[in-house]
Amino acid sequence: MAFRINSAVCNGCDACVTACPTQAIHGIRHEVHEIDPELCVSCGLCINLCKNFAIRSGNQNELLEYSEWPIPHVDPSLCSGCRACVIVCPMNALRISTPEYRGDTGTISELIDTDLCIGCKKCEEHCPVGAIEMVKRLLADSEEEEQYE
Amino acid sequence: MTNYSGYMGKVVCLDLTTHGLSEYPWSDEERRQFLGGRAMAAKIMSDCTGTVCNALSEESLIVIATGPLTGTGAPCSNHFCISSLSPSTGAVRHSSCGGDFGLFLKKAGYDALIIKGRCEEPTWISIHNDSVTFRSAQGLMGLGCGKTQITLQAETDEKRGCRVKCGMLVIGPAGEKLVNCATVVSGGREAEHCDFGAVFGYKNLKAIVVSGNKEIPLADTGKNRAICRQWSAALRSHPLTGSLLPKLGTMGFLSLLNSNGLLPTENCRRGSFDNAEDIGGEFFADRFNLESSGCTYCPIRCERSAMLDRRPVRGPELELAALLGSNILNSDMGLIVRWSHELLEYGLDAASTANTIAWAMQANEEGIFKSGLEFGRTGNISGILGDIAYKRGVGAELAEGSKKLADKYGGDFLCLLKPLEMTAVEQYTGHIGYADYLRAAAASSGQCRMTDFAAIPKALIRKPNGIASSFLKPVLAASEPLVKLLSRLPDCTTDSLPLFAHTKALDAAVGLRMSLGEYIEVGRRAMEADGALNEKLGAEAEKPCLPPALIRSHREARRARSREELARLRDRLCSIDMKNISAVKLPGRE
Repeated sequence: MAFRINSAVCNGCDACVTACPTQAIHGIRHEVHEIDPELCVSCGLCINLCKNFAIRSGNQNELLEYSEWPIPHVDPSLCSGCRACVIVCPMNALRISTPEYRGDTGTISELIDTDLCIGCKKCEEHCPVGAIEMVKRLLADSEEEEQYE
Repeated sequence: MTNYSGYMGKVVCLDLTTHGLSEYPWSDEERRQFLGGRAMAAKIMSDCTGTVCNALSEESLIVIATGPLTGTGAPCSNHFCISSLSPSTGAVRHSSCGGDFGLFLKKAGYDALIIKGRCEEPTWISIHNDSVTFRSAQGLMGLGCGKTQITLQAETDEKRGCRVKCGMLVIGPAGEKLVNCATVVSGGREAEHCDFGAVFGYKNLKAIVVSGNKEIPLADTGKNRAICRQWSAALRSHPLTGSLLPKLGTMGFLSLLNSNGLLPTENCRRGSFDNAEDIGGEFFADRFNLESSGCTYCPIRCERSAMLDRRPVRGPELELAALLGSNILNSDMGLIVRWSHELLEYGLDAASTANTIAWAMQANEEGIFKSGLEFGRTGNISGILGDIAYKRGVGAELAEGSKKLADKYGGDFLCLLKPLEMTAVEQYTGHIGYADYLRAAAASSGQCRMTDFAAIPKALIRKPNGIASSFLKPVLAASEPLVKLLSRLPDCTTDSLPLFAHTKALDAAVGLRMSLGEYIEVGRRAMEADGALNEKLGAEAEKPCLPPALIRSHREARRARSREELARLRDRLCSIDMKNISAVKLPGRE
């Protein structure tokens, strides 16, 4: 279901227009913008960027800070590398890992860069085997750091 | 509209002559009877094709149908069916393709697309949800399938101003030139055993690009995820779908076919090849394979890739390794990789083209058709593939396909082989009477035929030669009543058998409850619809089978193996120490 912009609140700041990964939002600067329902993939990035709360989803009343956007954590024992998450990711933030050796059959889905992920949870929703769980961005970073150490 | 989930509820008919888009009536009752995919295409083709219809005519139809499981997350469910009349035989033909076109067709809101009429000039069609745009393809003419897709992706991205995720269906130069063995390609995957490239070419349809933002509805998300997880785990723990196919690809069956005397060699004059090791899956995995990948939603991942001229290309499959390897006495895997890439770029069907080349080699040897092609001579094959695609020189005749050449020049060595993976499946299972119906039903729900392998009980898999079919024959003779009996049992009885996951997934994703018996009926209806249409058209469908030489070779291989096994047993019995009989281990399965 595509999102809608509240015309009473939108001030046409263009923050959503430049960020929208499917270029679904259009409008003249400083005028009310519109979302094209044929292009919107309901990723919710515009909701988190709109400082005027002109775009809403459910009962969310507060903007999520960037650091609070969750990122996917892939369970390697469940992931079969079927690419379902790669197909649905609107930011192209996921890929199938590079084989570690010739003919490696254990390649799984992985996040290319945490900065690319907008925490839309599409990958988690569409993973057919439930191998993806959204975790806190900071937590994931610290886990990686721990592993690195 | 539909009351079932899993479907998008819309089947549309696109008229290329008028550029009109109309909805085709397809009821829930028909959804229940024909599911989708192959059976749906068979029914639509049967209902809409007139009594006199040539494959290369304005009246001929192309039906692209998705299955209800496509895009629901069910393993191996990304396959869609392309159906049309075959330009070679005039009979109806269905082809399965694992590319992403079907998935995006559903995301655009359609279960199936029917194409009729003919464009006046080369055209490509862009579909995004309800909007259909016809665009000139003059600039794309002559481009290979890969380059066409790169160009179209760039154009679509530029028009939208962002990276657009879409599915494509394109033809190569072979389809444009109306070559009888031309196929259609989606992503990096060609439609299997498909010769509709010429139908697309005749209709001046170079490509279709489809995208959409619709969500595929699921009846019960939680239940569907549980079944997908269970099914995926079953496939990944199975010796064939979890080990052999991911590691070696379909080429892994080449050694099995060879040891069973079933590897087409020298235009099927023999069933075993001395250098089979050099064109097998083990050799490819060791020397060539870069990555084991697969279609979307596929946990099996039988697709190979290799380096060619310093860039990664898609690797060959069993069909190509055998038909452009042993069947033309070539044991150079590097050449097979090159030809595989060339066939995909030209948009030529691998199996039909390779069969035509093998036929021409024998015809050349017997002096009935001089083409310069000789068994074991590989230097001129690349050139010949280009000649076939562009209908140049001898290629113009070869482009007619082996069947038409055999009709024209005679010679009783035409081999219409059935897909070699199916032959391999039958080596493991014997030929189940209901297997064809079950396969057609699976194709109707959107499944790849690789899932067939997981239906073989693990306990019965014996490497490297499969099950002795003599052992299974008495069991399989009873397959029909057995299946009917199983279909009447409550669900819980069949829970542990992965074979029945199809019906369980249909229940969870689509909300369509059907027993195995009803499911198999869908396959029977599809085949009946094909039969009715072929009868109406007066066309005779191809009946691919094993050539007599391969059957003889298979029998000999089996006899030799039986003799070996008997000798081994005799040696073992002779070595038994009769005084210490209690310590003897009984001979078990290897």
